[in-house]
Amino acid sequence: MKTVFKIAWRNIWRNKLRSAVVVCSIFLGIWAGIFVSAFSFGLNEQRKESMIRNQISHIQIHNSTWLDQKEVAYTFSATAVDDYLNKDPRLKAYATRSKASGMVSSAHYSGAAQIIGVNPNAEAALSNLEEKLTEGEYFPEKGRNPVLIGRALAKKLEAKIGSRIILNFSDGQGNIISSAFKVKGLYKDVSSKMEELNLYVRQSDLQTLLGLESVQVHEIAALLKEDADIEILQQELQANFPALAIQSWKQISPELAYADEIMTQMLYIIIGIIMLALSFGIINTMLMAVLERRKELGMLMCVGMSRTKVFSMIMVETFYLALLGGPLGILFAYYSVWQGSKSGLDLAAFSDGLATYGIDSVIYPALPTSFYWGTTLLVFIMTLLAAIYPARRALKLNPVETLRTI
Amino acid sequence: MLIKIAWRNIWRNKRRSLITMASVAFALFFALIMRSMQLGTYDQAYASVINATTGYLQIQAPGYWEKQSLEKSILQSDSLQIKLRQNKQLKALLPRLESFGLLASAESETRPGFLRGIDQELEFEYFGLHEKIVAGSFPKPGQSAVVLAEKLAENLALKVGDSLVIIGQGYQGMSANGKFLISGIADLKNPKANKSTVYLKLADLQELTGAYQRLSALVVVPENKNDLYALKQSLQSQLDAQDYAVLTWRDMMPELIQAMEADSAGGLAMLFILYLVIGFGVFGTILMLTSERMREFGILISLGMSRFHLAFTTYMETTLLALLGVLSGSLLALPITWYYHVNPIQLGDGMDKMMEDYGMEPIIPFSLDPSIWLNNGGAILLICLVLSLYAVLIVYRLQPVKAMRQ
Repeated sequence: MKTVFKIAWRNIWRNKLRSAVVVCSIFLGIWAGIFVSAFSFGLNEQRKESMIRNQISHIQIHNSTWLDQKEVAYTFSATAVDDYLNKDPRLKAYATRSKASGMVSSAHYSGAAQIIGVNPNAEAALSNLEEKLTEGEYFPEKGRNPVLIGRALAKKLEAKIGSRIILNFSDGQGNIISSAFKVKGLYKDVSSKMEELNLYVRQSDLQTLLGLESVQVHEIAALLKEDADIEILQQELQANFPALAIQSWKQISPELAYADEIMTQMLYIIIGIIMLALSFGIINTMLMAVLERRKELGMLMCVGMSRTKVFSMIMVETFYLALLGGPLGILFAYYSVWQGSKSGLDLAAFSDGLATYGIDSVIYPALPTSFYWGTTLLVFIMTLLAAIYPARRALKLNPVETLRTI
Repeated sequence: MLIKIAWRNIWRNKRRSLITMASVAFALFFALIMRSMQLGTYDQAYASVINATTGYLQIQAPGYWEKQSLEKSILQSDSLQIKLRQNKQLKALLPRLESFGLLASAESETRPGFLRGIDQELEFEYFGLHEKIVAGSFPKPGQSAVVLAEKLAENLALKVGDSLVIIGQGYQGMSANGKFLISGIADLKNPKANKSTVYLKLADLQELTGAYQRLSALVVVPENKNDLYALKQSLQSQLDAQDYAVLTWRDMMPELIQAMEADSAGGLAMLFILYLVIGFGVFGTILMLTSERMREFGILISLGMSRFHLAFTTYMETTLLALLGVLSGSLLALPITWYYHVNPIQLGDGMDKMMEDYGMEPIIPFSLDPSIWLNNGGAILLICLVLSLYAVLIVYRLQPVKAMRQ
């Protein structure tokens, strides 16, 4: 068997250009395929991270009626949940929120608004709101009714720091509240839609306007340290507070969870298609290698080389080609993904479009390590499958006949 | 004669030719299916946006689109309409007035909403608005009533016959409050529009907001939908840029276009890799085809066949091979794309939410645009033609004596 390996190795160097073409196609195909996969994977991860961090958090708690009707009246008492979460070491941050949807207007513009009452310190830890400010102050101690608005909204309202804007919303008892707020800061979000819609006010101010006690809130959002704890904590909370609706990010945003789920499948489909295309080239090349050597193969069989050995020789030859191209492609891919994940790829040309998907214009490619192993396995399985046809063809040669041909 | 030889050459080694053809056909087949699906989805998204929101082209006051405020409205003047109608590319002009308001039902539910005042007859004729009614009807002449978008009506828990309270801000800071009968509910086939739109009669909205004789925009219906840019320019030349701005839907929806372009770029990257891999496969075939025929080439040239004729025959052979591959790939893709063009894929769990997030309907219709076939078929053919030059090069460089000794 050792000789078979040796002959096969020498055979692939007999026609260097041809072997080089196959090796190159495997190498480039794998490299580019993995890189594109890493790009899509990174993009999806980034979108997920950004959505969780900026908008939905890991776990949200609401009054159970809130899920169907997001009305001001459906609050719950935060005290018990607060006590429960307060001591939990698994939590990174959590915050209570009050919400009202209504309308924002200035002398120049009026539009839809989601008014979010936040607890400044807790919110800064939970959703980085303070860091998103591009101008102004983050809820200063002094001054009545401060509000933070997005840059896009500020532009429409023609509002600056210190401008007064009017917020209109229902108090849940059939009254429309109209109240003046003072713009204290402008924030930047990934998408201009968010910037236009969300306004942040102090929770206590909003609660007072809505006629609610300070423990009556609409939402508690929590961020955990470890992904693995999310579902455990969710179940614990549900057991302790059966009257409340406890949702993990997967329920809040099923589309995110779904994208997360199908991502790995998608990546294997991408690689699979490329491998299929590659295998056409491999089959063809190896078939040629067999047919042009038919005389030689016939001779080998005549002098007593067993059919198994001829078969394995062709298989090993193909395998060598994959062994040269495949790992090289995977290594190069690994390196470029690693490089890319450090510096990021700037897609400024598509930035507005990406913002609608909720992501930044700099993409950091990433791939789970298991995918590299999966691809390696796939490469070898595909090559061996592709080698079977030419190898079988070699077996079908009739030794006597091949010797007779010129 | 030469083409006949080339044709016969292809069938000398049937297996190889078939594998090469199959690889070209596979790449093209896959490319066509993918592009047809992607471009079909984009067309669908664009059509839904055009139909449910902006229309193809709008004439607005300069700066209206950025602010969408009543203050930036234009005067409803007959002289302007008469002037514009002289443009032969223009089919119709639809006056619209748009504004925001807080919507409330008797049960104290409130939602921000988008008010659109329209000329009903014209919208029926050019946008088929009456066909979108799912309950009730559009208000009769002389009746002052509104039509709600389906999802909005559901959120507000309102039915036909109920009344809707609108609290908004009118022209020049006037308050715009009113109560209207709901005469109908419409499904606008666009998730975003379905959540927020209220249709009023133009005169009703003008009266409500105090914007008498004013319009947000004149929606232009073009004679030819494919040449909006030319129409935009000719309208611009007719109008004074100080008073009027002409915007196509592309100008108004840059984020949508970019999001689609980013998605499309991902698909193109995938195609690029696929073509690269197939290119190597085709090159491998050409390499073998020439190297196994060195002797034959040598003899033919010694016998007096001109190098040009020989090169031409070989070139024709590879070209025909590629052409056959391209043809079979195109034909294979046709029934599948046709089927899904007529019966679009309906998306289920998770995916439908994701699409709605991007403001699209959860269906994927395939596109049958011939340019997809031309572009991708052309690209593969071009790659093959360039690679075939290698064979030509070999024929011209060939030294007959040396080649015959092989």
